[in-house]
Amino acid sequence: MGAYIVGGAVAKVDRHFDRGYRDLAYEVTKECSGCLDVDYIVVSSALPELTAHQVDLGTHIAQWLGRRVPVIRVESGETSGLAAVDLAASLVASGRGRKVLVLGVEKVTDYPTYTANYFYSLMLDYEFEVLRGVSPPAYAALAMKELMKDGVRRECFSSWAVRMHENAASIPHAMLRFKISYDSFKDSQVLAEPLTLHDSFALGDGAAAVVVSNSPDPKASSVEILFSAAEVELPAYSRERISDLNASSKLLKLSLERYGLDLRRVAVELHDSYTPYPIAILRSLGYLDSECNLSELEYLNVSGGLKARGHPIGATGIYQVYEVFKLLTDKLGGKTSPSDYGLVHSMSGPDNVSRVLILRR
Amino acid sequence: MEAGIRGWGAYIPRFRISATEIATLWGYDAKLPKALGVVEKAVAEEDEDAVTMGWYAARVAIRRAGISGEDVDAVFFGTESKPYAVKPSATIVADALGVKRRKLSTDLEFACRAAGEGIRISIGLVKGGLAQNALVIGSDTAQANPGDLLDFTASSGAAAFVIGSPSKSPAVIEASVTYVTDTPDFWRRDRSPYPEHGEIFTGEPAYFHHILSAVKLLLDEAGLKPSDFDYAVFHQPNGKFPLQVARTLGIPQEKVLPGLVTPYIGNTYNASALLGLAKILEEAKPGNRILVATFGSGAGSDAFSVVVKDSIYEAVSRGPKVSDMINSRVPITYSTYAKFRGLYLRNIGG
Repeated sequence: MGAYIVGGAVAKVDRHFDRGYRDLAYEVTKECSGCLDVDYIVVSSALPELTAHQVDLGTHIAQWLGRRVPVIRVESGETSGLAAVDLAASLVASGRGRKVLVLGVEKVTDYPTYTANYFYSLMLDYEFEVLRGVSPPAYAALAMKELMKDGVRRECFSSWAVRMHENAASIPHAMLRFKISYDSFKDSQVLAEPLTLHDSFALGDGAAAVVVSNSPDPKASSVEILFSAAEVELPAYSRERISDLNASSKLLKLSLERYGLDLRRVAVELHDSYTPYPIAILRSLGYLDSECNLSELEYLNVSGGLKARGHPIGATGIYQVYEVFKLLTDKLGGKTSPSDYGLVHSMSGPDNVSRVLILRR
Repeated sequence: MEAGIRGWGAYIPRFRISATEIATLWGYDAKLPKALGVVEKAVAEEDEDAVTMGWYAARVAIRRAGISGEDVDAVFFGTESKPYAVKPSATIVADALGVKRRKLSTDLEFACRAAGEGIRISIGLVKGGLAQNALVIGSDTAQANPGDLLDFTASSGAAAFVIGSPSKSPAVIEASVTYVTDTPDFWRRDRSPYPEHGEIFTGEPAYFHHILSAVKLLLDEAGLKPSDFDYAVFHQPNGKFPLQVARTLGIPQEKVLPGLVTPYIGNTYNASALLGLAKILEEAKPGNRILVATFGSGAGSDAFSVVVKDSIYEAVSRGPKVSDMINSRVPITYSTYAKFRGLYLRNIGG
C-alpha cells in the first residue's frame, strides 16, 4: 500500500502579529479542499512550548478544527515538517489511517529578535553548544569561511540570495517578494563575519497543510511519496569540517542515483537556512562550477527557499512539500516540472539531521 | 477653523553623543546608524529634566504669543519621563511661569503623543470657550536600556505651544483628528528603569498603521489631499520612518526634510514631531499648509492641518529658533552621557 499527496494549501509566510497558532491552522485548512475529510491529523511544529506556552498543540488544534480524530504532534527541529510527512506516509501505508492531514504551523514573531534567535538556537545541543554561546549563524559563518578557503568567492553566496529573492517575487505566499542586488550585500548587517543578514533565512509565521492518502484521488491531482529517508550526522563540533554536510549530501546523492535524476530537470526544494549550506550541498553533488552559475538549475527552490519564501521553522517542510506537489501537478511561480519526480530536502542545524523526500506524479 | 497656534518654543540640550560612538561601544555593525538614519542625539545635562526643559520651551512660547502667564487658562504637560512619579510637572512649570491659579493643569502620559493629545484637548477648550489660551508642553529625557537599539535615538528635548484664538494666531489649526487603539508596541512596567519594545512590531502595526490612519481620517474630514500640503512632519522615532510614511502618502521627501530633526538630535519623544513643527513654522511662508502627525506607542496618532498666516515672521522673531539650537552642539563621550543620564550607580555621602 502506497502513500499519496492528494491536496494541500499554504498561508502566506509573514509576521502575523494578529494571529496565533490556532488562527493560522484554521485559516490554512479552510483554504484546503479535503483537508478536514481525514481520519488522522499530524501536526508539525517546533516551538509552541517556547513561543506559545502550549503543550500538546496537536490536540488543541484538532479541537479548534472540530475534528475528533486521532492527532499527534511531531517535532524534529527544522526538519519537523518532513518528519511529519514521513510519519503520515507510514500511517497510511500501515493501514492505521486512510487519509492524514499533515499540518505545519509555527508562530515565532511575538518576541524580540534576541528571544526568537535564542529559541531557534535551541535546535543545537543545549549543553554542549547553546550554553557555550555557539549559535546557528556562527556555524554558518565558519562553514562559509571554510568554503571561501576552498576558493568559493563571496559573490557565490550572494548569488544564492539574489536568485532566491528573484524566485520569491512571483510566489504569492512568499514572505520577501522583492528582488535584491549584489550591491545590497555591501550594506547588509554582519551577523557573524563573513555571514550577513542577506545570507540568512527570513523568520516568519506560517501554516501549511498537505493531505496524505493511501490512494490517489481520482478527482484531483495526486503525487506518490516514493521515497522518504533521514540520516543523523555527527554534531558540528565533532566534524573535520562544518561545511561537510555529509548526511544531506549522501541522501541527495542516493536519491539522484537511485532514480536516475538530474537536478537540472527536477523540481527540488533545498534547505537554505544560510547561504553556505546549499552552496556546499550543490558543490558536493557536482552541480556548481567555480562561477556558481545557478541558471541551469531552473527548478531549484522555485519558492524562493527559506531565504525569501521564509522559514516558519516547524512548518517549513510542509511548505516545501506543497511547493513541489504544485510544481508536479500544476504550477508554481509560473513553472511546471518537466520531470515526473520532485525532491524535498530539509535539515536541522548544520546537518544535525537531514531528511529527503521524493515525490512522483 | 478649530483654533490657532499663538506661540511656540523649543529647548534642545547642547550636548550630543554620536551614533557611531554608541555603535562602537556596544559592538553594533558600523552601518547601523546609517540604517537608522541617525547621526547624533541630544543629551540633557545632570541638572536638567523634563520640567526644566519644558519650562524653557513654555517661556518662549508665551513670549512668542505676546501674552503673560496670567493670560494662560490651562497647562498640559505631556511626558513619559516626569521627574516625580506622583506630583504634577505641569504645576511646577505653571507656577514658575506665573500662570494664574484659576486654571486647568495636569500631566498627560501616552508615550510620545501625550502632548499631541494636549493640543487636541486645548483646541476643544478654546473652541468651547473654557479657555482663551492653553499651554501645551511636550518634554522628555527619554530613557533607553543601555546597548538597546533605543540607545541610538532616545534623547532629550522640549517643545511648547500656546493654543488660542485663531484670529490672534500666526498659524491656525484648520482641522485635527485622533486615532487610538490598544496596541502594545512599547511599554515600561512600574519600577522598571527602561522601556521595552516589540522591535518590528513598533513599525507596521503601530507607527505606520496609526499615523496613516490618522492622516487619512484628517484628509477625508478636511477634504484635503497630500499634495495640498507644503510641509509634512511626522513623529520621528528614527530618521527613516517619517520618510517611509511620506512615501506611502505620496509626499515628496523635500516637504519632510525641513521638519526632520531626529537625525541630529535624536527622538525627543513628546517633543519629537512638535519640534519638527516648530522648526517648520520658523521657515514657512504665509499661506503654507503643514501636515503634522504625532505618534505615541500604546498606540495613537493625532493629525493636524496647520495653515501659516501673515503674522508668522513677527512671531518667529520673538524667540530663539530650533535650527540655532540644533546647530549649537557640544560633542560628548558615552561616559559623559552615562554620567549625565545617571547610568552609573553611585554611593553619595556616608
